[in-house]
Amino acid sequence: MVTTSCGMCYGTCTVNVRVEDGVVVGIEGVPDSPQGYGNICAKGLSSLMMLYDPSRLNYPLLRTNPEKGIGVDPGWKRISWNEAMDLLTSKLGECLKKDPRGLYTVGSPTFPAERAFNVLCFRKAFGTPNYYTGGGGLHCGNGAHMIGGIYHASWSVIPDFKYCNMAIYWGCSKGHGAGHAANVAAKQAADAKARGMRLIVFDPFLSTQASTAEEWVPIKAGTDAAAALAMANLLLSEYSAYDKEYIKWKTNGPYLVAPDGLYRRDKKSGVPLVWNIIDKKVEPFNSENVKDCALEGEFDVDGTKCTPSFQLLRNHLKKYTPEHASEICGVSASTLRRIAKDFGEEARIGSTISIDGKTLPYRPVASIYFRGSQGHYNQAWDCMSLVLLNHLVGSADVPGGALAFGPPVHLGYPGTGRLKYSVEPDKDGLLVAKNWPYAHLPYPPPEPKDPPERLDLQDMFYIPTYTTIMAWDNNEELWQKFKIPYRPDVMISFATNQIMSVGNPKTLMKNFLQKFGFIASFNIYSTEFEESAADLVLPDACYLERYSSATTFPTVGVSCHGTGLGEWIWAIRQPVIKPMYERRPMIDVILELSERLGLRDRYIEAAREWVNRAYGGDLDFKKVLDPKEKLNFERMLDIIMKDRFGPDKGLDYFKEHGYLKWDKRVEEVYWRAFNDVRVPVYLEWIIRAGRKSRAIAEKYGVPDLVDWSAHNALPEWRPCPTHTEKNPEYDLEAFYWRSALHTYSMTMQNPWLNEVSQNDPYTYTIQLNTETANRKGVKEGDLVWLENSKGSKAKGRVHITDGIRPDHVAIAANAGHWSKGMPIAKDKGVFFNELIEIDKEHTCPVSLGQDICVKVKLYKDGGDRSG
Amino acid sequence: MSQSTSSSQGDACVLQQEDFKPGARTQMEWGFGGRRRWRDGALLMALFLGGVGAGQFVVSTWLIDSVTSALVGLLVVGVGKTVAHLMYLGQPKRFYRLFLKPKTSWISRGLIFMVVFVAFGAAYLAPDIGFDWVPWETGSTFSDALLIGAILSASLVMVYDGFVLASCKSITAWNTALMPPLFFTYAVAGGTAMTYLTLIAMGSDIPNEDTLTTIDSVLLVSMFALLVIYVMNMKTSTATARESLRKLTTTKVAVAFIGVAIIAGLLVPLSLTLYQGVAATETVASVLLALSSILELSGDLSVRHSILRAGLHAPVFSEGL
Amino acid sequence: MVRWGMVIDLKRCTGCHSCSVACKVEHHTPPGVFWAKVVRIESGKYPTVIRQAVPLLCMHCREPECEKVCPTGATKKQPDGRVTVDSDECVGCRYCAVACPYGARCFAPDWKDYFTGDKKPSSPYAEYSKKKWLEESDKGVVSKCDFCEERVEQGKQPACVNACPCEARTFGDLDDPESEVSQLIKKRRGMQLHPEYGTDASVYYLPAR
Repeated sequence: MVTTSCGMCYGTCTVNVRVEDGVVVGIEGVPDSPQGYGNICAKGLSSLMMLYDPSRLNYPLLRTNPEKGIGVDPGWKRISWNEAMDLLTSKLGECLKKDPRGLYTVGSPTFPAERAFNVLCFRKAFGTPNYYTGGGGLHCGNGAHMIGGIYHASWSVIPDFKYCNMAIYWGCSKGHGAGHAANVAAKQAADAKARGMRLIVFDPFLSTQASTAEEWVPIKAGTDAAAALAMANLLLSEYSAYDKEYIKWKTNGPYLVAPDGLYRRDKKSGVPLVWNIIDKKVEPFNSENVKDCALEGEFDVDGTKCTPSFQLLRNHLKKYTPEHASEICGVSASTLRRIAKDFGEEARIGSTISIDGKTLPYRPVASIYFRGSQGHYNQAWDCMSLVLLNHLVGSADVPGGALAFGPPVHLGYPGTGRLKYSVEPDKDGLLVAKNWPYAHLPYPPPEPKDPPERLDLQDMFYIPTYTTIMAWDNNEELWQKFKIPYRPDVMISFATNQIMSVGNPKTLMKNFLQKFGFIASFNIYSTEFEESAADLVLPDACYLERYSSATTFPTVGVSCHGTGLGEWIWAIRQPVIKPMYERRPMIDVILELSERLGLRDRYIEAAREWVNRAYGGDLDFKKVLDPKEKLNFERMLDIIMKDRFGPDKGLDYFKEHGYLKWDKRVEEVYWRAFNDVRVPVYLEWIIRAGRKSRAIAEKYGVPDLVDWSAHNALPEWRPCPTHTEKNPEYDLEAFYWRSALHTYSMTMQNPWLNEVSQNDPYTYTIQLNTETANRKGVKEGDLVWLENSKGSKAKGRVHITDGIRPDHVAIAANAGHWSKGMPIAKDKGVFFNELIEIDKEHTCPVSLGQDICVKVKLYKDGGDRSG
Repeated sequence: MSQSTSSSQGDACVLQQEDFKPGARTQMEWGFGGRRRWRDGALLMALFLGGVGAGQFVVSTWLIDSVTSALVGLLVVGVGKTVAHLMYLGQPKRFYRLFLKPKTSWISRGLIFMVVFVAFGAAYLAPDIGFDWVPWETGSTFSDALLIGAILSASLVMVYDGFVLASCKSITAWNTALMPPLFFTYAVAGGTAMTYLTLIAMGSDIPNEDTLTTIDSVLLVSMFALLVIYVMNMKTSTATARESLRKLTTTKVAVAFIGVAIIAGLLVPLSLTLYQGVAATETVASVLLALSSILELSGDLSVRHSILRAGLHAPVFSEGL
Repeated sequence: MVRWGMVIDLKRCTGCHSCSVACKVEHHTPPGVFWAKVVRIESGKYPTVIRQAVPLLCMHCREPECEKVCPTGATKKQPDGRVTVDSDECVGCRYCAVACPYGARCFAPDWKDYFTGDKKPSSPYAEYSKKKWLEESDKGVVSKCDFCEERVEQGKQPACVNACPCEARTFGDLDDPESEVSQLIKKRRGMQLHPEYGTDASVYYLPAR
């Protein structure tokens, strides 16, 4: 029996894996672990089938067909690891000499801990700024993470299941199978619903969470912000249900804004000003004298009429009447009113609760969003509008409210006091996260690069995540204009299938992947990506065959801790059997490559920086490692563990126990009340940051790079391209959802999951409303085409249901494989990405995330109906 | 892009397995097999052969007194039905276990009836088919007793499968008192048809032809009546029964049920029977008789097939929960 | 005497199929054989639609139809309330599978590999699975849930109960009025499926709404 962390999604539940005579024969949860409470999902249980899949890559493969492309046979030839390493070293060596920035690195979001050492540290050591998360723009969240970072110092929010009485879900599934602490949240959500938590789900289709909710509100895709802004307006204007104290002291609501849209600042200290109501004068927001401040009114500051930003928000929201929103989102005004009223009342503004002897605000309501609500052109403002509801009633990171997911505060492991970090205010008093796994912190915005250095131009913006600009049709023109001196040269990919997970595969292939001279991919299957684009394929070890540092700890990027009080856990991933055949954990290859390329010291330095940024502290590998010592991952893990948990808790301890846990504290879970940080109800800094990015774009002759008018301070609803489609022929809005049976495309090759997916009416089908189906003469099981106005098509079988809006069709993501290397996944389900474009029109101008809804027409396949 | 075609679902992919569909669930084990192995079709043949074989024996001994035809009937049951059953079983070597629970299981009972029937039937026929060393003669009281035993057990063989199906509580299309009479009537009619065919093949005259024709017509009319009652019953019964009816009348099964069982197997033979009386020559009459017998037999097979196919379990979970 | 039973809380269940797969890990069932499964019920007209996942397994009835119709005696009622199939006695006639109102029984003509569909195992694990399956359930016979006899004997919970992420399942003694299952049935109005058939199932469902 080996205790390790499941790797079938980023929920990373602690599991006991049973090995008999060298064969892995069983897997179970570990009841004592707060990571899953001993429960385990279908994906985790199916690990065995992934480990022993005869389609797994077992040997390095080299492309013999010089032609690349979708559907082109790569003509794989088995080579030895020596040959593979020589080839890789020479290609990377050349790139290093020419321009290291020509190296493009891509890593899977499913294994954040592995990704850190496999990709992020190597990228840094190599000296390239270029990095993308496989499916980052598509499946993850630019808008969601950005807004989560700004408002909660975390990449997402989740209800405080223990105390929450009313949760509104906007296109998210927390606690219903999503990867976010999947099994922990599933139990907590079930407990909450059993306790009587009301769940209200806004979603175009009757998702799992909607079907178990008290109320399903069928909303048009991409219109969440319109509904939420109307509700915010109602809370402020009609129901007066907002937490004045919270807005005064925990937001920038009282900050005075001049007519130019920017804060009016104190001349001496440079900090924003507020109106001191008691002394009737303007003062710095952080002045001790300010015992009460104005949220409304107009105040004269040195002859300029300034307004508290809350007043601006309030005025701005007036135009979002429920009637107006109703026309946009297809939800009746009375429903919006009723839900807003309930939300305001249930928030119990002013009430408190005592937990562990600490008196805290009690706001048992939460407005929760994730993937679904942010898959739109307006995603940054969509997410902001949704999270705003929490910040109006003061239900952020207090008992019962919307809690940061991947808690931003940890006061240290009790045994050593290490692993300590917390949030802090910047000079404007706004919340700064102290740990963030991506390029830079979500706030404050970094100085944009002039000219940008990255191929996706991400570094000339302030977004803390990724973009797909590198695959736009005009990428070459952009690179020339921005004087980017290098071009795509070598790519290293860790466990991604970019063909299936970035957007339209044709576009990505043509505009981007074809431009690389050499692509090396570490993976467990030969996916569509390897077959279409890779030159060298290296057989990675799967999660049961390798080590990983902390799979659970918040700062790794994807926290798996349950919400609320309980226990923290540091869990490792360790091999339960030796890698079979010639499979090798990618990290071993990367460490060897670093040595071969003479990057050993730079790798150690990058690892030091990452470990300390992610886990806090001042660990220095150089001080521990002998300069002549060959890099070894187990050794590095041992150093990290001992540094955090003491000399008796090195790797050996974790190999034996699998994990270490300790109690959470009230100050960590409900951190907002204990930290003097504010969040913006008025995003003044976006005006400033947007201007800087715009100036760079204008300087290099690309003034229309994005729609700069969206770089504003107040939330707005803006239509997606689907909302403005004029051709009545394209009458259905297609969107995708994530089935709890799968983790992106990786699990589609698993025969157990495939079998239950086939038995499930939704995972492999196109869900179509009964009435719409009747109107179109479509029957259950019919083979139909969905086609967008650009002629891109996807084919699949129809499942007729009343659980979807009549004007929408829903498709589960990442199905519809065709690669020979994934025979089980082949021809199952619908490949939705075929329909979505990678271009400016489908890119959020603020967060640069992708819009993934599409207007389609639906027609029957010419062939006979069968099956 | 060319991949868009190959990336979508191939026709080989089963959309959903029937077991997992909401609502009524088709029984997949009997008649055509959940795993769709051809051997699974053998069960239908076992039911069919048991019914018509036993029927033939009864008709041949009771009404016609044809030893050959009775022997054929006996063999159809003793060999045909037995082989079909063995082919269907997952573990045929353990077939003897099928007899172990007559107290509660209709399969045990039916197979015991079958063994008893084959034993009595064989004993009764023995003196006439060359086993003249047996210590009884045809026509003796003992032989008559054997015959009564054989006919009684044959009748049970003809009716038991109706009880087998009727015992399935959740399959509303089966769980009806109509099943035993329906199967019995079909067995008699099938037996009559088999008898005709045997005699025609032997080139012998058909004794009691008028009586037989009358019986046949009565049987055809009553089978039709039973089917009408059966269908009407389903129409006014539960949603599952209505779904079964829909299957019987509007899907592929309708070809077997309406096309073969009702039209070809009932209405055509009925009109042929009427026409046969006024047929110009005896040859024409016997060709017509052969034709209508074949049609009746195919109707018999089809009705059993259709009823098996229409076997839908009531949803495990009633709606609205 | 103990009478084992299970309570499934439909309010908690999200239909994630963990039970279906946990059962596969535990009992090595080949393709197409599901001792535990999930069906989805949908009723109503848009937008007033109810969709419910209903996990199914053998109901271990007190008056089992399967046991009544079984001609061989392979299906047995155990003193502890479980209904079992003795794979050495079953002939594979499938009467039980047809008579069971709950679709709990599966017939597998032969073991098959999940990846290749062959009778030859494609990996060491498949080989192990095949061996276990043939030992425990055998080919050419009917098999079904046995409430994880081996696990329960060792004092563990059945595999599906153990795995369920939503903790929707509770296993225990129906004859003990103080047991968690009895209490749940009493307090939450637990219901059996198809009580009208008189099967007196040992699996109870707690209503979602």
